[in-house]
Amino acid sequence: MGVNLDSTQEPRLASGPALKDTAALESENFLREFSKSFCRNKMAVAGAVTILVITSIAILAPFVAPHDPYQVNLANQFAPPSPTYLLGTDMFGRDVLSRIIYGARISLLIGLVPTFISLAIGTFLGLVSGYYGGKTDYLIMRLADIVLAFPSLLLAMVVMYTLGATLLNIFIALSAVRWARMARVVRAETMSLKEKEFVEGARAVGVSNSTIIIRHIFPNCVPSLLVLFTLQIPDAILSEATLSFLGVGAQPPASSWGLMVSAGKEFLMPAPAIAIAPGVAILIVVLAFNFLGDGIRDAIDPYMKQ
Amino acid sequence: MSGRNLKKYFTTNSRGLQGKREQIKAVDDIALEIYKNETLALVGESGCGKSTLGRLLIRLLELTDGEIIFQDRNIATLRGKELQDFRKKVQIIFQDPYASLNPRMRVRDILGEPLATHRIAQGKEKEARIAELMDLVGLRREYARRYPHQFSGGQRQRIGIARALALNPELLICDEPVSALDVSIRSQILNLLKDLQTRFQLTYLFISHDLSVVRYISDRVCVMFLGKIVEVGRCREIFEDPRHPYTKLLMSAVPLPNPHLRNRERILLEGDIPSPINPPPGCRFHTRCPYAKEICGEAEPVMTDAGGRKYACHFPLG
Amino acid sequence: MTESSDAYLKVETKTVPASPPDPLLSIQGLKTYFYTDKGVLPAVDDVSLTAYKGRVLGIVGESGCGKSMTALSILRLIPSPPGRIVGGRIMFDGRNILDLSVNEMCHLRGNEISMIFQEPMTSLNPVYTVGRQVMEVSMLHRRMNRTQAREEAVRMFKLVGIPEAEKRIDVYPHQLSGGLRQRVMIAMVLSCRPKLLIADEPTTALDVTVQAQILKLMRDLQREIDSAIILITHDLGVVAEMCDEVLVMYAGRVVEQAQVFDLFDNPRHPYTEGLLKSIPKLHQDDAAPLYSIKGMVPSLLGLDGGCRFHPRCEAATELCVRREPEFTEVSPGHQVRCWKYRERGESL
Repeated sequence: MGVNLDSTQEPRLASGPALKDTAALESENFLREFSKSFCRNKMAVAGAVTILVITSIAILAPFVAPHDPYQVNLANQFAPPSPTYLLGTDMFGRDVLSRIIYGARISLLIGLVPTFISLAIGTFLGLVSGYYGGKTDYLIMRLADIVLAFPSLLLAMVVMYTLGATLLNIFIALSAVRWARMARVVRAETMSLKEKEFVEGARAVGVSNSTIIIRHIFPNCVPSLLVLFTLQIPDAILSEATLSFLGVGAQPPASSWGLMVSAGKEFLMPAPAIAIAPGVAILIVVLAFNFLGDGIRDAIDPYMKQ
Repeated sequence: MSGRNLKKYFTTNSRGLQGKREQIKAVDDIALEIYKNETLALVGESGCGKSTLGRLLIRLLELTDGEIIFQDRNIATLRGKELQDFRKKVQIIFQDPYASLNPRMRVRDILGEPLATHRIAQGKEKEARIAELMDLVGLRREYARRYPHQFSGGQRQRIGIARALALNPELLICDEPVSALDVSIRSQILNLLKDLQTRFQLTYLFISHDLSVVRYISDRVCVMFLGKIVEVGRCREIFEDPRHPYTKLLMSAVPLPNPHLRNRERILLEGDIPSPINPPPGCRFHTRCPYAKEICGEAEPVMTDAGGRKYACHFPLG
Repeated sequence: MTESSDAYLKVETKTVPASPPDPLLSIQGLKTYFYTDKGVLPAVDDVSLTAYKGRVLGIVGESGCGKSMTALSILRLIPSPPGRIVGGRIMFDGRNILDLSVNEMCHLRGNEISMIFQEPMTSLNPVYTVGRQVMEVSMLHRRMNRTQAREEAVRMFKLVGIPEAEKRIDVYPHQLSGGLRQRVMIAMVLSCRPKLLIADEPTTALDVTVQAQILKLMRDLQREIDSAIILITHDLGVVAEMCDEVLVMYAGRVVEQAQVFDLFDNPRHPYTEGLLKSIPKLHQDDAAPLYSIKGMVPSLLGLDGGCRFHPRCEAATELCVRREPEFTEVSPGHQVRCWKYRERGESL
């Protein structure tokens, strides 16, 4: 950038109508910036790692679990923790640890899928509601109000009870209510983004409404959606655990954590591990997602401010 | 482009004394002409309606009443292909360089969007056109890969200008294009705009509250107050020989970068800008006007047209 | 300066009083650096200035020049992390502000040194009435009780020209226009009769006619309470109207310092000259293209040890690239940080 001349010479650069800017601001891309911020938050990193580990264990369950979780061995009921059965056995002689490992699959699946479904529904309705306004907005929001007025767990219980306790029904039950919260958040963001000048610019160019929503509004909602998604997952996991605990969730002999806690509560004296271990597992996963979600939100904030 | 009886009222949620929804009369019965190749400035303070008027002319907002004629068509009736054609011919540059570009899109996509929407160019041709646009506004071609946040305010404004030019428009609405920029960058952008105008035979509607900038860049000036046009005239006439008291007041209030003129005679206003919800009766300016007489509070002044020079005042100056 | 011979433009030549009164605030070598993971940003780099009672000192510059940070440094309101005052002295009324304890600072702020900000809407708390916010200041610093504070607030409102003062005491900020809110800010700030008033772009967000009123108000009030004012702005017109002495800042450094008439009549630093040339003039009919300073304000991160303005300077020489210039006094009271002037006068 040095200019090597004496004071009589003019260092004019360009001859065109305007100067060529020789320097744009230096900046790395979003991902690097975001990762740097994120990694500074130790709890968030711990959460991310934990989830990664648990997910891997869940996927690799057949290889990781020491025993078959369904294998009944009545001769070995309530065995205390030992090198073979690290957490002991339950009332049917099944290995508690293996059941917990397989239980991770159910919990994570039920954490992720209904949350994703409600995210998809909520995002779509929120975008439409926020962008078009008017009657559409009114209708969708009233629907959301109605749905939100129900105690979600109760509604889920009713759904499970009437439709039967299958995996699909759990998905339905858990997404039936949660979409409304997502829709509200997305709607609010859409309404504020809609007024921004780059959206006006796109309209002035003649871009169609649907393209504007998809290309301009949605991508700018993604940061909030990411945070919302991550923070809703533990909610789903806890809901599933509660439903199973109450008997309307996963059914035996599945090794859902909630179910294990429910079954194990009778036997706290001889074998506390049966109820407590899955409870601790739930605690760890929920905390991990919470830290992860908070970390994402904190790391995204400065990037948004950019 | 010309407009007659233009009105834009916004209804608010609050209800007034009679229980009727209150209306903000942002633009209240305005007539306007913009001639080819000229730069017409729209000048006024906040609440005068200049930004609203700008958006009405490009159909980002719909008129409550009145008609806007562009190339022999009433733009409110345009649909489909005709509307798309209109969009190609009239474009807009915004004030805030930080909000006018989608932060999640690369510059080349921002510039490519108009081209793709109107199917003007694809593939290699599109790339070439994008490069051309970058050259036009003085930005290096390689920077098209970058995201808006990697540019300074002045550079972003250049990108905004490039986007507006992508469709080869005839009329450009410039909504306070330099107000949000640093002082030393303003002259760069103003020079760029002037150059582009000569090169491409553009017509500008230049909306601004900064009178010095308006003086430099415009041919004719239109002064607005609270939804009404109070004076129109050629640049020199308006600045040297204003007829409407408000125009004179505006000139008087501008701080001049010359300390020797500190104690010049000035007319200062009393009170605050009235609200566009309940504009004063009669001449809207009468509550702040140092020359107001009784009739000013009763009857709205009619626009006098003296061969292109227009003003609406019961007791014009000069 | 060519101006049209309009009757209402009266030319005034002002002379500076021969011996200025004692300085109220004297900043010497202030350095406020920001430590980010991209590097160290020398936002305020070796800034010295003096403010006198009854006089207005203007700090002029563009974004990133450090003018606002200088003001915040005086009040020790720098966000920390990542910022820190790393050097210099701020002498106020005989004491170094940087040595004061937190309690002493709290006593100083709002009381002896007050600040007005640019955006009156965000500076006022939206959930309290404006009266209450003004009263809070007098109750805190002047130990008044509610009734006394209210009377004082009404008095201040009248002083700053808020119509229907008794009624306006009980309204909320959003019910007032920008101009009125700024007047409320001024009322709040003046209720303690501060010795030093710092105004950071007080009229930038206001309409031009309202700006003229507020500036006049500030001038009138200063005459009455005799405080020192530091006026921070990017608008050279405002500087010309209001200030007695001016500091021009660029990229964290002071590049020129002079009495206002001297600065506008004889700008020395190429940046100052460039700025003055590039502003369109209200009373000038000129079809020629506006002068523009090429390039952009540099990032404070990549500074290379030479003059910070050299990439944009038409008169840049090899020396300018290599070494940063020191101050030179080109005439009494007029200092420039530029190599063009090192032969004339003495280096300071």
